[in-house]
Amino acid sequence: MAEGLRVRALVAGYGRAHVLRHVDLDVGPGEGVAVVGPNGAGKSTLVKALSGVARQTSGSIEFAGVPIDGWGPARRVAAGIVQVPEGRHVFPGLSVAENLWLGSYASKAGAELLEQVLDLFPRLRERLRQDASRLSGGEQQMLALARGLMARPRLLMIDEPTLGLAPVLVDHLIDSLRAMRTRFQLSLLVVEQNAYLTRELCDRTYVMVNGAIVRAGPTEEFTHAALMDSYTGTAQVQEGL
Amino acid sequence: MQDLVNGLVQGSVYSLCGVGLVLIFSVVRIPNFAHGEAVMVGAMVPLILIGDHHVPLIPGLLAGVGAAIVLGAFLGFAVFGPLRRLPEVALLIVSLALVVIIEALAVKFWGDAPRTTPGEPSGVLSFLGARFTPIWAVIFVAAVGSAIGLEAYVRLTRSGRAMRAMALNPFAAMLMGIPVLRYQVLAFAVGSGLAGLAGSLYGLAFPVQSTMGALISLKSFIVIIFAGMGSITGALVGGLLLGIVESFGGTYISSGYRDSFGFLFLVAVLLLRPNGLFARANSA
Repeated sequence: MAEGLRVRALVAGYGRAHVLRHVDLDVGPGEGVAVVGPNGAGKSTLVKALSGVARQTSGSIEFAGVPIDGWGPARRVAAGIVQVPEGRHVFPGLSVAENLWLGSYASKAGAELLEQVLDLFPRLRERLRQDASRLSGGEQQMLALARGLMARPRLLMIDEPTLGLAPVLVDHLIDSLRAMRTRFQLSLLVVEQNAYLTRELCDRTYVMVNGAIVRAGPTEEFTHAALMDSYTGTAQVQEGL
Repeated sequence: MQDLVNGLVQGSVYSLCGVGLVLIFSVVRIPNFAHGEAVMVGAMVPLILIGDHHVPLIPGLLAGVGAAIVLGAFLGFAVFGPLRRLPEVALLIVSLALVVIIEALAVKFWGDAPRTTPGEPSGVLSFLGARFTPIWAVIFVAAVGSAIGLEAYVRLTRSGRAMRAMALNPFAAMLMGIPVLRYQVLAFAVGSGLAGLAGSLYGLAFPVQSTMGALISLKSFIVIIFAGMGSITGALVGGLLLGIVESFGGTYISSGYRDSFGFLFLVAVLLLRPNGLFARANSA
């Protein structure tokens, strides 16, 4: 586990509110890991805590064998822990190309990496000069992923990539992610509701309910019925499920 | 014509202050009402050094700019660094408190008599019948040059682009690995440096005093509201326009109400163009 991410008894949240309660989680080198769970379970907070954006109050985070607790977001990105946030957050008013160059802020990657990234996302190549806020939702998701790749991640954390995407685009996204993973030898941590995507991309799945991991195992064990069981079996029933 | 030139010079000072404030406000979203205090420090330090301690002109002016930069960096790091997660209203109150504190200190150490920094280069230039001094021309060139320079900086350099990213989406900028506190301090330092430049040049041509900061802050905010928050060239044009409005209002309506014309103009602009004169089409 020397190369991957190792999280032990992580407690984190915002201000004085603790959202995560003693989370243990591992992502091996090159491994794909899914985190699933009902709305409000703390999945996004987990990703933010790993990025250094949410406040960690106790527990430990190690990456590539080095403790990174207390590191700021900039240092973590430079170390290769990169987040593609929920809702894409592309820079409006800047072109696709400018967005991609901002992605390379920490890595100082040059044109060579840009070419490799654009090979994965040909749609973006066609739209390099276009204002990023005028892309479609699917294209913005592609841009957010491509921008994340420009940071030369070793662990890419993707929060809800399929949110708001049409099913046909989800297929396309899965292909892109799979190509990304092999091309750049990435570890993936995917927060996702879409069981189809997690089955296609992730070796293992963690189920998070109320800020705690309630189940973990190989992804194929988690059929729809098994997921429902974990959501409801160990914690209170969440509204809307 | 003379009114136009008077207005352009006064307006150049507003532009310099406005351009600096735009940088600070758009990059870190802090309504920094203490901005005018950087102008004051930029004016008072050369006044004291050159007037009372006979320091040569250029080093004296540079010391003024330097002092403003130090003040800005200090505010950006030591005051607004720990406080930056507070809501904007709280930051506004903090910046107003800073105005009072800095002004009180300045009055204590430097007095509050209005004075002009000695050493203005002599000579009179004339252009289309309007007469002005060389320092007026320098002020105008400094304002236009700084706006163009800053615009080029935020578009073309790595650090400038990083600041633009912070202005557009602070959360995403953080996820790109952009060290936001470092750029907050840099934005404060550069923005306050421009304000200090405005103050040090202004002091050569017009009387300055320790209590000048608050009114200049207000006018700088008028300028950036004109400009539609976040536009550097907008702030340049907005500043010049404010100076011209004040100058013509002072001549043709009443010189006693000179300072109010800018505010009246602001109200008129906001009624007609609620997003400012130079609002960007899609400022998200």
